[in-house]
Amino acid sequence: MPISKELLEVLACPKCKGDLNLTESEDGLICENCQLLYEIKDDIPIMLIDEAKPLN
Amino acid sequence: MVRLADLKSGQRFLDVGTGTGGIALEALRRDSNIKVTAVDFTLKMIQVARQGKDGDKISWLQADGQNLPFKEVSFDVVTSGYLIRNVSDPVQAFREQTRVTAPGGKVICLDTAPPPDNFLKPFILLYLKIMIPFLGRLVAGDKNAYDYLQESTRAFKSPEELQKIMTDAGLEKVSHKRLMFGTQVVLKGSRPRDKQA
Repeated sequence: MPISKELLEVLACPKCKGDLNLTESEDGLICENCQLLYEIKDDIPIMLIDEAKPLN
Repeated sequence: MVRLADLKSGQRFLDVGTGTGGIALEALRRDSNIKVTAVDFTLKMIQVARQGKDGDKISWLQADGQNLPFKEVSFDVVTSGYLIRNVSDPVQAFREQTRVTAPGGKVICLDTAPPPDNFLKPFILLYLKIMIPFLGRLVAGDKNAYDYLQESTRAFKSPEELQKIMTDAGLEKVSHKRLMFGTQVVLKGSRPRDKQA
């Protein structure tokens, strides 16, 4: 299922445990603090630090 | 194992290292009003798991059991099955599970255990020695396919060692129960109510 509001409330960056924001196109989660993008593939958030993409 | 969780409607349930989703799907089958989240390190496992009955009612994520992507106090019950043998730092894995559990919430773990020292021990060791290669040949066409399971079951931590690891990770009231002639163990602990993990 797509990311629910309830899941978004408890989700945190696995690295800094800070808040995440859903991207506009809802295909990723952004940690502003770590400047990392966690992709969502096929409705599954990929919450691995090693697979996160640097924002810049 | 899921029965030990003593689930109540509306509770938030997390299964770590869910594999093909057995524990998560069973929890939902027992009470369709709980909110189930399940994570595994392997994407392919999750893709298989979510095809299970009512798999679309579970939130599936790819995550590392030693670095969970959740805020503190996000769940009422956290489970893991056969996870600890696969992580490099078991204390860290339980510390993370404790962190995301609400004060008073439960952390439950299922794993294999070395056979207990009783009259059944020789029979269990014989069973592990003969049956596992036999199953390996039958299931995988390779008698060595499940060797690691045989060795890791015999060499794995005792329930008492696992209990200490859970206590060291900040859990309290940790207890264990052996199942299946003592070769499996379920451990249960609680996050203390009066202090942060």
